[in-house]
Amino acid sequence: MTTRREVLGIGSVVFACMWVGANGVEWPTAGRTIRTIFDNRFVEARTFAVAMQARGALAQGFRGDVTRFWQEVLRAEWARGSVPLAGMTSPGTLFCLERWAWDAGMRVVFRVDHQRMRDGSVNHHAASAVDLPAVQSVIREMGDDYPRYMANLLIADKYPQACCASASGVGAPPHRLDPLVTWVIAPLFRT
Amino acid sequence: MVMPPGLSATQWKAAQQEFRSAIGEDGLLLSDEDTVLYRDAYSAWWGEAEEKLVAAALVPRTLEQVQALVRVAAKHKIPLFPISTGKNLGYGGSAPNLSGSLVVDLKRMNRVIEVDDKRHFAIVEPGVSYFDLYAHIRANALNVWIDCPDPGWGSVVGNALDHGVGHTQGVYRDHFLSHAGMEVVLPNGEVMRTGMGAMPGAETFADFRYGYGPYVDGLFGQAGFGIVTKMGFHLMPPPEVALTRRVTALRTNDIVPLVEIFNELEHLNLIGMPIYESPMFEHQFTDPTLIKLAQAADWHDGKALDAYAVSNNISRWSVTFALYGPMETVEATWRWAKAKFTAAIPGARFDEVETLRFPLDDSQVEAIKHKVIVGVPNMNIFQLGARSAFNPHPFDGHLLFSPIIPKTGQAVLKAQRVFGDGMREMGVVTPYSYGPFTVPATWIPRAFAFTNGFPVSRSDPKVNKRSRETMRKLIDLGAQNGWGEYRATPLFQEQVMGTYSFNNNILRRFCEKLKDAVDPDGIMAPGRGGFWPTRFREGRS
Repeated sequence: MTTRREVLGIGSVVFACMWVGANGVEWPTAGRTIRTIFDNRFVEARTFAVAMQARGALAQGFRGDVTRFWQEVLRAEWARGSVPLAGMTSPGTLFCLERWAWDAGMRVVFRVDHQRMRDGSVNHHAASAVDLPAVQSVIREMGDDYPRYMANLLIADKYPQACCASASGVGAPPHRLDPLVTWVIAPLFRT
Repeated sequence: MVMPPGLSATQWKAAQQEFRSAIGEDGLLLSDEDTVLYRDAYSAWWGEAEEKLVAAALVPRTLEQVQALVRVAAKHKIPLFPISTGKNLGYGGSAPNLSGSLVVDLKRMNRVIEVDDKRHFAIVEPGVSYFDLYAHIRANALNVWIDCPDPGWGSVVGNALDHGVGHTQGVYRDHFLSHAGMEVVLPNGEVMRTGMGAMPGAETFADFRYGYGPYVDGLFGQAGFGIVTKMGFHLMPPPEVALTRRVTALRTNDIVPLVEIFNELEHLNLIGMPIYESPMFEHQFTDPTLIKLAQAADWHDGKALDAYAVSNNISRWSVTFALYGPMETVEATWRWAKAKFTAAIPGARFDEVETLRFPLDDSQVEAIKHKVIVGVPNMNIFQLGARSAFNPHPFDGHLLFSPIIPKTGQAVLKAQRVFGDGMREMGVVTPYSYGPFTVPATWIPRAFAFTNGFPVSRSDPKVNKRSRETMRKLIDLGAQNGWGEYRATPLFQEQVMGTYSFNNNILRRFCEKLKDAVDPDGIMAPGRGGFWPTRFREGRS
């Protein structure tokens, strides 16, 4: 019987190469394991990570400051090659990773912001470059269960990827309900 | 597509080919997906016609390539804008002063050339970040500290050239002050070395900064006189211990003796950076009464706020700082300091925040409360909204207004009132506006930067318009009181230079003369520092 440990060890999350955006963003090649990171201060991010791990992704948590993950893991990996990365983090963390990714020839290719409102509901806002029907239908459905929906979407057969460089957040006024963002960073394919 | 100013399409095409020959095919970035990365992520003109955009990016790897590309630019009179790692967020980022400039991105020149832990210096190229230098020092088990800003991803060279600052001892946290020696490519493509670098065979490039004759290094900071390709920096030896301690004071006017004593401690080199805070700032968000008191017309006489402080047992002022050195010495200094505070400030309280004995292992480093005080670079400032007194509105970024005021309590109280009243007149009154809880930043060892931040948005131009207007009025208001900015984003550099107006703006006129002599074709970062070469000067104030 194949154990969960064996699945996690030998399995790989494959981003099926079903769609390439008009500005030529490369999908990860089949068979490469996707690393996922999450800010473990947030229950939503932990739920997302568990959902990703259940589907064979390698998930690594950090607490607020992404410095150590950058210094001990990502810096060397991205110096060796353009390794895609997915995550659910604060927008500030994505801002940092995005800029480091530029130096490795990668871009944010998918982004959805999740803003919890004071009444407890959650607003979801896809970056305009990927705000397409496939994503919109998921957003309409997911509500509070968005961590699992986002994990499903990232491992689904089809979802759009396009260059979301310098995409804005939802631009909400200052408040104490800080947002989260689901994202993918991947190599830039040049036509 | 953005074009270099004054060039025809044919000329631009020819220049592109010459740039490729100079720095290789992969050194010239023309596509939109590459040039878009050089937009200023914190631009207050984001998406509007006035936003400054680059025509292309040049990414050299060697000094020789920098020289070659400068010669091509000079031949075609194409403006260049050098950046190191392009992380100068809040003060312009990687965008030029002049649209159509070519960014010279020095990130591939990222060698740590030398670190000496007996004479305590480093020599680095511009692409070396604080993280890189820190990693190099740790990997080689070298006995030195760095001094870094918050966040730590910026360039050691780039930060110093913009008069950037850090968090440890005074002589190290003024990053331009701590440098010694430069290598610069001039607008004609020649290489100049300054200080002891001008002496062939000298081993003291990063030791003795002055060499002989006029000290020209200042021309390459916050200005466009050359591309710096190497710099030396003095580094701090690691102390035996760092004691982080805190002093709090109850009353508004306690700020006067508080600052006097901290000045004495710092100017005797007994302590590092004193970090001023107002405990009542955060308390506003749990008690609306306090907001009303802070925004009342008579807040500045301090009576109501002092009464609130006493009845709620919240201090008006808090200063956290580090003492570095041998345990015996710093403990004695702390005792001495406490006695001075106690004598001068009735009711002063003291906290022992943290005691660190070096060296530390990785888990101990991870646990440090405020890592930059001990030279550990990090990105903590970006977590969550990174909301702080200096970045009160974490939209998509911020503009920083940083006027320099004297290091006195009286100046703090006056600046609170002047800027607070100024913002009230503009109709900008929020808990984050200037007011009784605004505290000085102490990055600069011999002056206060009375910094405040204003939001920028990549989706709402109205936010940006308001921030621009607020900044412009505050710059003028500050200048009326003799409080000039120490650093500015390109958007405001001309206005700021205009406020340094002694003797009919002789400073700017002098810089223009030098510019015309050294860079007659005006190719080197035109507009940087708020003054322009001849060909772009007409029509500007």
